Amino acid sequence: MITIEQVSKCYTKKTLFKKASIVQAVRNISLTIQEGRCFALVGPSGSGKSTLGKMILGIEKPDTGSIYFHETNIHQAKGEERRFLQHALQVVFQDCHSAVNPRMKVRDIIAEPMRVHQQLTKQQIEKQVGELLEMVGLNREDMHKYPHQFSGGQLQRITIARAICTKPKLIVLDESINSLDVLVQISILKLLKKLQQELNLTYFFITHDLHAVKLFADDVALMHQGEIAECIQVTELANVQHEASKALLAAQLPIDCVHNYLRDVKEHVS
Amino acid sequence: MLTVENLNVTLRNGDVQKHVLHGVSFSIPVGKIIGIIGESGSGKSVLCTTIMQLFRKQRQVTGEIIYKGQSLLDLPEKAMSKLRGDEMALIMQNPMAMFNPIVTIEQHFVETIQAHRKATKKQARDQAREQLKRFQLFDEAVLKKYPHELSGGMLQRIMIAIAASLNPSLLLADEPTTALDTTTQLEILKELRKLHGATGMSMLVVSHDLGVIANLAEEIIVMRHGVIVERGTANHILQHPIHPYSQTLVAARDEHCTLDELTDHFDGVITGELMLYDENHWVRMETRV
Repeated sequence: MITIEQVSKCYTKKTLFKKASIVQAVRNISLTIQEGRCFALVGPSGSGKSTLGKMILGIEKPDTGSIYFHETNIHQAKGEERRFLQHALQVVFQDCHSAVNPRMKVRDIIAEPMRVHQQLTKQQIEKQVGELLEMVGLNREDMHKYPHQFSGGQLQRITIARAICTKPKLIVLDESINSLDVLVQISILKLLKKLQQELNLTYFFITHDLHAVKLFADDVALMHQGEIAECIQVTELANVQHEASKALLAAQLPIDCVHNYLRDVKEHVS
Repeated sequence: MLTVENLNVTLRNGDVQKHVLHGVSFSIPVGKIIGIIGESGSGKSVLCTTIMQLFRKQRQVTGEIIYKGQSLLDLPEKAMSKLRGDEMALIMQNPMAMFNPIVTIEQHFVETIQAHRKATKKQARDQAREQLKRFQLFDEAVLKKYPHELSGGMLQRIMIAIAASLNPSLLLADEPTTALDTTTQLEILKELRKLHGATGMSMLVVSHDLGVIANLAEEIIVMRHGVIVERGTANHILQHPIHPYSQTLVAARDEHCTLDELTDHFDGVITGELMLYDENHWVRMETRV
């Protein structure tokens, strides 16, 4: 569905007095994301995950290489094609509080993409927003509230509703659940899974939480310093080869490590 | 060391009153690490700030907080501010927001040290340098940097170093790793354990991540809706959780649990809607389990 071909991206970091320095965020990456699957991209902060996500969305342009949605080059599409891509590719960000306009009512937040892309009457918009809110597990009446009246988990549901209102094909989940509570995370994952089946969605799931990946994703790519270290299926996650991916696996906290710690301390004392 | 007994906290905001903690009792023995786990809105952070006696005016507190034989609730503000930093230190969740952006790291050290100890600037600077060496943090160049030049993980480590610079006997860590990524999280936990090993200070670690708590604490307290629902040694709670909420938390960390199993399991565990009390503060409408 999405084909990434040898994509690289540099950022020039400008400072006021010093010489500008160049940061290579993404280095020669090639990937394919298959339709109907959840593709997870895992890596530590600064490894270029979000940059890749932005390039898939068409927000950033790659320096070299190209990204295709089916047969269309995302960065060279024009006119009708471009508009279609804007429908087809959507995103849910990590910080839901800054992803919504605090002065807008939920109805207007969700309806904004609809208003841009379609001509609808007020009644039609309200009807659709109501349906979307129910789909993501909120109440119809919530559309008249403002963002600050919701908790993080509820607000994340609203941004998900906004993402699915254009009937997208692919949603980029850029650390969408990381700032939430463990149980809320699970309920959001469950919601995303349900929507995936109902709407036949493909997910590009950016995270550093391997636990969520195990619960949610089908394929995993482990990223390290702008390169893909490994690209495997979730079931094979236990036997990764690359050093960086091993380090990432080791950083996951199993809940029984307290035993080891206490043992270490005892050994240390004796 | 610290005993909290039958603590009830009511937050006041204009006419609205919200009962956030109900009859919370626990104690932190000398040299032990106690972990508190709970979801957002369960009152974990309120507990921390109440122990530190911050926001005194906005809170109505009943019960007792006894630290080394003296009741903190009756302590006048002046004596309390001497205790803060000197005896008890608090590490907060978001390291990026906790530093003054226009002042160097060194200044942060100097300010903290001079507020509590009689020291000239030079002595304070030397102490800061020593502190960095003690934690084998980074080279001294980091002292001359501004907060925006450092990453979140580095700032959090510096925060721990500053908190430890006055050798407090109790460290409260309120979600010390929530804003950081997994690999950095591991480093911060190592740092905290090293600190505990080196000084033997008591710690209260608060988190919503069972992994973090299990990694540090010997005893775990599970909080929900402002009430302690379960407590015990770490091993016991991780192996035989009794309360449905702790069971769900443990199950959520289970390698073999699938998403469907989990959601069936915790169906009904999340009850009572969250409502906004004041800025960034969420409380349960249903106050009791």
